[in-house]
Amino acid sequence: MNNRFVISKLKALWFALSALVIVAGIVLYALMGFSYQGAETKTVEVIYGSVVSVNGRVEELEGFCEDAFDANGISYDSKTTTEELNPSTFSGTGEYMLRYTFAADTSNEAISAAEDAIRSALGTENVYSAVSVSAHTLAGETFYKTAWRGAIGIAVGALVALIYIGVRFGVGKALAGLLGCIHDAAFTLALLALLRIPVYAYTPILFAALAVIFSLLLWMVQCMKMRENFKDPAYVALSAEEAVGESYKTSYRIVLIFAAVMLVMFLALGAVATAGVRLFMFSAIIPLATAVYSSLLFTPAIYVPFKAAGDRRKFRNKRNEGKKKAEAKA
Amino acid sequence: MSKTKSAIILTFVTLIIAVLCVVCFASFPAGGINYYNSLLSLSDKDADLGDYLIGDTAYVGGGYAVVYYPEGVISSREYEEMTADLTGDDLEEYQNRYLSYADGALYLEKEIVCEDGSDAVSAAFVADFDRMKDMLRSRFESLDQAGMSMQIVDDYTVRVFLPATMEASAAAFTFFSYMGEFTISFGSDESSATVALPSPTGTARPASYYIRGASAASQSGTHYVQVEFTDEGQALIADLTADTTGTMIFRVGENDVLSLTISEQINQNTLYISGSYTAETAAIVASLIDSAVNAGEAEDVSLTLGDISSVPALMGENALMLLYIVLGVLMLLSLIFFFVRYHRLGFVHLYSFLTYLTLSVVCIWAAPGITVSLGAIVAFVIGAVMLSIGDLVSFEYARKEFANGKTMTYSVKTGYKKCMWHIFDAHIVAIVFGLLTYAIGIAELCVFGAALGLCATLSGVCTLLINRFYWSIMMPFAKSAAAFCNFKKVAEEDDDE
Repeated sequence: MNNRFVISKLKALWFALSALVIVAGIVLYALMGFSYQGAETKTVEVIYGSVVSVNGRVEELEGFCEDAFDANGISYDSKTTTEELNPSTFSGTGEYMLRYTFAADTSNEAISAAEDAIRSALGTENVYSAVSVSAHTLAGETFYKTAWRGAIGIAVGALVALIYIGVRFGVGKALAGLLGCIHDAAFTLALLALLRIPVYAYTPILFAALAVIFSLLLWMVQCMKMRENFKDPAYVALSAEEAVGESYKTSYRIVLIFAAVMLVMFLALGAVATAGVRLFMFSAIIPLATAVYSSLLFTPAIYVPFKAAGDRRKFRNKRNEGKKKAEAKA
Repeated sequence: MSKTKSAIILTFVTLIIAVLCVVCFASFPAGGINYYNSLLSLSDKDADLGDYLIGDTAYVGGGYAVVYYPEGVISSREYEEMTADLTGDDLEEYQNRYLSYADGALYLEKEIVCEDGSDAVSAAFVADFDRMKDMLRSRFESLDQAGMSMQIVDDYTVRVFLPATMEASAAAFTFFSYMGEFTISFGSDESSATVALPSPTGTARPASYYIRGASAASQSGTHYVQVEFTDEGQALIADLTADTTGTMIFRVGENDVLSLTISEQINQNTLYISGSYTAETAAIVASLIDSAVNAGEAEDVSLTLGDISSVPALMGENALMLLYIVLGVLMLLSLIFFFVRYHRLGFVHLYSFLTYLTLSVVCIWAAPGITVSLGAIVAFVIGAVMLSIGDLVSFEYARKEFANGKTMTYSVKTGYKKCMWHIFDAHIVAIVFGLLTYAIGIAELCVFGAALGLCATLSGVCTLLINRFYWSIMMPFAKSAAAFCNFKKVAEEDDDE
């Protein structure tokens, strides 16, 4: 399969694929939103005073809790110990909160039973007399300002960068880049919604920004190569479709090298990491993959008509200039 | 450049890089209870990441969380403590006053929360709670803090988390718990001050009739709150302060927010209030006044603050350390690649990379808007990859020129000249995008944008200027420039084949 075929003949396939993913993503987002990590969680909170820590009984207390969870067949996602502070003085109250976080679908009955089991394990021993155990259900709230301000920031940042690309490489490449950026941001968000990938509250807007910056950088690689190649007389005789396809041969390796290096980075940072970081780094492969797909297949296909129109204009200008010169000579 | 000159400069550069590396990355005990902490460990960490300083002297990162209880709602712990102290009829009366909710996680005071004569939560309470929740959200949202979050706990309490990078967390938690109508009282002293705005007599008008809003601003390092009056508000305040001096108190509900001593007539449409405000506290007070003016009502449910929890890094205790280790290993692998492919020219990349690395850390430590976060780490990685690819491209261009039979000096010069615009274009686009998302975006995107702008700038400077400078000072030590760089002429390459 030659590059010209991949870019132009299959462009209907790329456009259809992108449209399908984006539309399906929008529909799913409208129905279910993103799958926010920790948007709904359940917790068991154990508050204990310094009498427990001073007597070296914290581990025992944790043991009671974890045994109770095991006995009731539930497992927690995370465990944190936080120091309690007085709101007026912001100094320690001498109390600590041991907090176990569970997934939203953990059975309420099992949590309640575990709570009772912890209470009975604490017994009536004096050291545990002031220990309080409670279970809670938490539902996250969304801050909308972050999203719309972020969207404006990304849009303005991309537009100014594309104006620079327009000045350096031509309006056609900037317009194709603009469509590529819009596509990449939308495609990334659509994939997040479609694949139900757990995301943190800030992840969608950050990933949209990542998709756009990757898209800009990778499309620029194509632009640089195209400008270099199109100066070659061999390209003059080629149609827009053929010229873009030929140039593609010299640029796709650089795009793939950059993508491969970034991929290795994300995989390595995610592989040796805590669960939260792993989720973020592995998910960051989505904007990268989207930008690679777009800069190799989608945006070059979009650029072909822009180049064709530019070539036609150049041809007309040349012909007009020739006519004028001929008339002047006559 | 002569060999001696190169040796002097190279020694000097090596010393600077070594010192920067120690300052940036080495933490060690400095005798007794004193410790030296590296710039990296002292850099602000966002809510997701955090680590103890050496000697566990302090924790950098994480944040603070608090639970707000609306009037009529108490925690199970408070209920248990109260019932433990009561006996007999008092206990029974207390128990009858409250309704257990969410499997005993909360206790609701029937008289306030429930429908008359039933155990069902009243629609009026639910509506009041929703209004209070929206007001809290708008107030906290106005702070634009990266890592901030808000959760509804057991349907009727609100948990808010603020990152430790926000120094005025306690003030935010306390001020934002003030609910109710905004009023301005005026009198000869605090005790005799009476409500002057909204006017207690005549047509009842809300505070927004007199006040447009409040915002925070700063000038020459002084932070202040500015309250903008409507024409009616300006006239009312001018009348109030025309002939008398006294005390003007800004209140939200029953809580004093500001107390001003008035010594002359105030007749202006904007009141500028400065004091000991920081940027954060001015923003908190302005946000509180603004939301109370525009949405506060006398019937708003009042809030009680629970204890504040000091929360460690949300991504886990070892998250940051693991990220540092992996980044270190990846950098090492990139250096090995350069040494294998370019032999001693790898030192040029090593020095460029160390310059980028240390300057990034110094800037992250010094820049107020940048914290060590996942977004900032991704931005740093993008900058590092751009630097490595930039170095690779410039080396390859020079190699190509050399292979075509040019001299080494000419190859380097021409190689750089040919690839300069490619590298410049890539970096300038990343810088522009980063800085604009920093300027317009908020929270995590703002941190990412700032870090991207910074790292792309440093990467560009290192690969376009510093890399070439290092090459020019290292080259004179090589007996054979070609062997130094592992470059070969085309004929030699053909021979090898």
